[in-house]
Amino acid sequence: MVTAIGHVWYWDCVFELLMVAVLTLISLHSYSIFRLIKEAKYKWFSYSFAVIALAFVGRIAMNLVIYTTHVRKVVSGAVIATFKHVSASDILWHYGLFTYRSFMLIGLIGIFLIITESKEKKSWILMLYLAILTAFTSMQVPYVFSLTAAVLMGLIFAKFYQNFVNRPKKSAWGVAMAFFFIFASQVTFIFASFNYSLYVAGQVIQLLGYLMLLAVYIRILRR
Amino acid sequence: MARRTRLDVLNDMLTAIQKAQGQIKPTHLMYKANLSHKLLSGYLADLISRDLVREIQKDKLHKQIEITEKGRDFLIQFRKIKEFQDSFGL
Repeated sequence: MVTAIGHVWYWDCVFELLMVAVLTLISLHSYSIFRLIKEAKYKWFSYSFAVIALAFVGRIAMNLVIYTTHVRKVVSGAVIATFKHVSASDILWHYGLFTYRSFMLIGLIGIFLIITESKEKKSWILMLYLAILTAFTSMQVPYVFSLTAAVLMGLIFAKFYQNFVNRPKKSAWGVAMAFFFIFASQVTFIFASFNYSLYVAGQVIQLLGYLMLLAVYIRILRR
Repeated sequence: MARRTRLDVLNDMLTAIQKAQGQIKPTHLMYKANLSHKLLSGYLADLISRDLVREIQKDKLHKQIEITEKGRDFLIQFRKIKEFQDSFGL
């Protein structure tokens, strides 16, 4: 039995660790504002970013699945057949993927409901149910996740762009553009199953989006 | 002139108290922060519930509003909070 970590996923993990760091910084900053002024929206905004950070942690765990090579010998009379196959640790991979998808959708829905000032508890419950249902369905039909995430990110981008129009500031522009890149990356992921290079391009675009969010965060801290 | 957000009003009130050596009469605060009596009462209750200010009873008829340590911290952090709020449209 031979074990190895798939090297293809190495850069994925590095990129995703950076994204986790950016999301955690924004989450902590939002929570510190909540502690100071006790406005619930900052608390929920913080939780939403934290949930997306957790989604990436789940994905990192999924990518670090240890690939195992099995060699099996079958003796049948004078014939000896040797079978060799590589399999991922299925349970960890599936849990990691489901965690990533459900947490990502819940986090995105959280951000969307906060920035659209939705205070109706029933719509929060319905959205949470739909997020988990979509994540569950996407285990059989993978593009359902990318499509749903792209729609949510597109709506979030539109709202942040509208915010920039209302408050024309560099940081508001930065947030809108960051979410445009994150939205564009999800659109790219929809077609990634047809061409692997699209997946790589999507990951790079996504990283750019999160780096723009980091730039906005640094700008806020300099105030 | 753009409409003040809730955060702006809280900042204006705390700035007015800070400028008055940390204590101010409610009526003076009303004028300095450019608020009606009804709005002042609402925002003041909000500031007290968040421990940003406290009421001090000077005598049976007179009371003053005093800024707390947390209130002073808010004033230091205000620009960052405002930038965060404007960036994400919160």
